[in-house]
Amino acid sequence: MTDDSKTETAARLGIKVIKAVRFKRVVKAPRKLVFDVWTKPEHLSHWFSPHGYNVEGVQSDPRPGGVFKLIMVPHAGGAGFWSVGKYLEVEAPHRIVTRVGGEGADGHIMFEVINTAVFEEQGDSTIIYAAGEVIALNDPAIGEMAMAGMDEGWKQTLDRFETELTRAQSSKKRAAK
Amino acid sequence: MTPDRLDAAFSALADPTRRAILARLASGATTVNELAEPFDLALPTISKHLKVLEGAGLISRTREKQYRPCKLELAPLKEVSDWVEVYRKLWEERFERLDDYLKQLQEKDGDGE
Repeated sequence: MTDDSKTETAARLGIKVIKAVRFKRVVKAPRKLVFDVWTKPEHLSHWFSPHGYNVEGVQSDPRPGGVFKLIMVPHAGGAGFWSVGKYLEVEAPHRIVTRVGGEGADGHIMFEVINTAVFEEQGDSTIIYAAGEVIALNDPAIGEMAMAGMDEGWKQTLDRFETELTRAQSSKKRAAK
Repeated sequence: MTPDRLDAAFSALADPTRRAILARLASGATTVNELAEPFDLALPTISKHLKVLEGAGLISRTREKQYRPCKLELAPLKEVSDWVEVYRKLWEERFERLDDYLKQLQEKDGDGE
């Protein structure tokens, strides 16, 4: 099985993918913990937003059909962005599929994605295969989709993030050796 | 670009043959016959792909000349890649925060390293 095929959920469900982003990450944590952090409301609020945003009002019921709902609120104030959807598949502790819509402040759905996460054990680490398969795209306003305001501050954050990511990745690589 | 147009661009890009056609056009405008050469496809099939690409605004075809060369249009491609990049970065940031949070959790529990 190729890395990509692990997270190709939409095709299996017969849903057309407009565009997909796929990731592979290794985290130094046991799989059970990664699964909990990925699904439990008290954990999701600590990481499920970009920098500069708080996650609030998390509802997460990791069972097929269970609700997945939260809002990302910018530190700087202003309207938040909702992620609203449900769990499609849950196989603890190794596989989670959600179907989620990104909603703007006025409640219109900007895009819909099928998010898949597959966790594999590797020694005392966990390999995360994750994908966001975009299945609907209703609003081309890049700024809006970029979670709130692709304003200057956010753009700068992204620039900083890129720098940090490169640094973090190289230090991670070093650490892995 | 309108929502329909962006959607059309994404749909057009979902097909590997059409992506290959765009890749070929990236090195310059060319005729349908020349385009068809490297593909094991009949001309009408290639024409169908070209219609989809043209409908999505990803290529343009000159009307006045009989052989109607195809040309790559870069603007829609740019917009598509911008959106995807923003979406990808959102997830990159989440992973970074996830990583930090997992470290914190394990330090707190005392079962980290």
